[in-house]
Amino acid sequence: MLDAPAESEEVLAITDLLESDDGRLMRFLNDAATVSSPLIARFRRRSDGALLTAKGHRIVRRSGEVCILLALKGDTELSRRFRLLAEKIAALDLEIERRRAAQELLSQNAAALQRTLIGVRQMSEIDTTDPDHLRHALDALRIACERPIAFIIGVEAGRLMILAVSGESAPLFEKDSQLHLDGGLARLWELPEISRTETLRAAVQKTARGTCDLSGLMAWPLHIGNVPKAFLLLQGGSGIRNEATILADTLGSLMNRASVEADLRHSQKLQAIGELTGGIAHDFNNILAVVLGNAELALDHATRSDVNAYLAELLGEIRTAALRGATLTSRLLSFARKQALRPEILSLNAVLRDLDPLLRRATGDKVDIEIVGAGGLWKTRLDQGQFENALLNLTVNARDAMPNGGRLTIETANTRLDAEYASQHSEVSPGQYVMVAATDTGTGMSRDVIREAFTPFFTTKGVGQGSGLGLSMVFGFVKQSGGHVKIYSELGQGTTVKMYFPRDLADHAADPGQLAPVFGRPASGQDRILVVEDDTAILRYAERTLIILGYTVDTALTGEDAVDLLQTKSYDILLTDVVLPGPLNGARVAELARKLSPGIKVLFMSGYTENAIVHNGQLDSGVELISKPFTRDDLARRLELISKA
Amino acid sequence: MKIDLDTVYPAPGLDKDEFMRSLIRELAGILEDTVGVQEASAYVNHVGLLIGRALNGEYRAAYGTERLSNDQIASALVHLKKRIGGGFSIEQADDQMITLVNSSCPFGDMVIGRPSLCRMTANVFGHISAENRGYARVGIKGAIARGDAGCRVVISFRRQHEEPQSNETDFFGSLV
Repeated sequence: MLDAPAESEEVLAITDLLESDDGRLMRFLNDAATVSSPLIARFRRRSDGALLTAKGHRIVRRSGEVCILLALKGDTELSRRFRLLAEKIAALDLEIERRRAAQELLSQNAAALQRTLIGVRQMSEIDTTDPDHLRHALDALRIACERPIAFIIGVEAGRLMILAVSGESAPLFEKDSQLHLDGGLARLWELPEISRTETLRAAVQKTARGTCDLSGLMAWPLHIGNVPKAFLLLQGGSGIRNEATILADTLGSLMNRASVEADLRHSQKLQAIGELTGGIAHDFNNILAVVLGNAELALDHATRSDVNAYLAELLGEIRTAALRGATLTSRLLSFARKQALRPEILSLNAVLRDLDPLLRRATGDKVDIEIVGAGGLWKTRLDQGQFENALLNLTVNARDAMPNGGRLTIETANTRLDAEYASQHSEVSPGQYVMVAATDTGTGMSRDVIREAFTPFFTTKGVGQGSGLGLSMVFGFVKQSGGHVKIYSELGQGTTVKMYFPRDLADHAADPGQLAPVFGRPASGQDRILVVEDDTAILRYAERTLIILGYTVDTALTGEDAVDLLQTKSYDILLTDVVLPGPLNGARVAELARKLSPGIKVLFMSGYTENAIVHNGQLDSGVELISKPFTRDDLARRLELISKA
Repeated sequence: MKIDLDTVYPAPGLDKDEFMRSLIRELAGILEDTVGVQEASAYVNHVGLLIGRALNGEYRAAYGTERLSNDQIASALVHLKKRIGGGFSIEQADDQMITLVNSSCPFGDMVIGRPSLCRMTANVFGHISAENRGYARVGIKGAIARGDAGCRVVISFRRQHEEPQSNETDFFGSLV
């Protein structure tokens, strides 16, 4: 029996001394109060967290009040060691469990990596010319990820659609189904990732032709040329984030490769057509030269002799038709990049200002034209005439795309095409460019039309309304000028054609573009002229024409014959074809002629440009060339010009 | 030599029951050697009390009553021992006292020399009795663990003023 504590003794709550351990302490005290034998349990000291053994004895005060005498003591050495041992064993168990889990995770990762590598390899082997290549790629990806269903969502012709679907439920979805989004496509890219995924899931779900559980879909952006342009949707993707990310990158690369390869194939096709059309145009020019030249001679003769007015009219028709043929072959040569360009240093803003009236006449009243020239526009080196033709072609196309009127905006800007852009487009070098863009508000073009737009004779215009050579000429001219051309178009919205020309960084002191062209009046020549041409018909026509013009003419069919004549006679002018049979071509004959007669003037003639005198599509400095076919007036003017030079 | 151990008679090793008894015997031995019999008993007291509380709930539910009668208490104590292999029987049961005798310990021979394990019986019996009668004094008058031929447990419900003897323990129920 104990006395009650004196009032002076300090009274502490037991929970101030020991941790309550979620009420276990109080339950222990209550239990100890129910039995006269002591109970033992362990509790943690609040002050330092040390574990104490608490032995609770039920005692009764003299007053009859039951209370618990709690004897506290620390661990004995042996039990402390037992406890440390137990703790170490427990820690060891935890470590074993952790290592086992890590090992299992490692095994899973290795297996996942193996599957991923197989998927990557399969995707890298896919033939992108196969129309189903995206589905094959998605099959490989989905199987590698062991997931039930996967989609590729992308934009085509401004519409978001299912580009491919793979999985057991794939038959419920149709490829190329359009997805309708609340707020439109533009908003999709601005959404947070979770909302974007849910928006896509809901849109895909709406296209299902039956019940399909699409819960747990996750979205990965597919980067095509470092720009996110499509999405991979994968069901249950949360557990395979790393694998899916690698495979999504591979899929993006595949789509990029498919795009680049398609562009390359198209480019090669255009190049092949170019070679073909260039060759045809060359031979056709020789024929036209004969037709046109002889028609002019006959017409001249018929007119002078006043033999037959009807015959003169017929000959006039022949001449006109030959000139139309010459225009056609000129365009073909432009596309084939075989046109001999006379580049000048140009400020395209000034060229556009001068061209403005012509463009307005071409479009008529229904189309508003706005020309926006960028301030500080860089100079570029271009054939002005061909540039004007190119822009006129674009203007006419824009007019035809806006039958009910609209707006055509022509703008210029300094721009830079970086290495990334260059790698995505064939025949583009990174660097500074002067950009000229023609934007209309017309009917626009589909993706397929855009792809074929530069192909010669491809036209969407009615029969007789378009030659299909306008954009081909633009393409060939821009490429021959070292530039780049790109079409951006959306059906119903309009079209923008952007031409990029390399910035001219050369010294402008001797700017040939600033030289005013000298046009002499055709006049009878008094000079001696040697004509070298392997085509006898052209040679005969040239001889007759030059005699009529008053020249003293000798002719040669080969370079060797020409050199023989040059060694025995003196000539003022050499008129020679570029391409000649035998070891001496036109350039070589000209070189020998200058040695034999240092003052001799040389005029080349050609059906198309040749490397002999034209390099990289541009005439060598000081070289004069007249393109076949040419009229008598053209020839007279050029001969007079070089005589005066 | 290669033999099929399943065909050896008697089979070597321990069955589950033998294993558990051995385990408890050894644990109790280590506990007694480490902290002494008195301290070890205190640990077992606590365990027995917790088990007694659980069993009391079970038997109250089985009888469908909030409070067990004397007969029900005596039957419950015999039954619970029978379930775990004990050989208890009622020697005497009346309003003041229940006397139980036992010829077979649930721990079997493994209990011999481990008197702290008797605290299991004392606490289970004492807690159930006190919870239903308000008070009980449990005396272990004979114990196989102490080398006696059998166990004799006397449970008295009459409140006594004398301090319990060394083999006796008072239990106080929440009814009081």
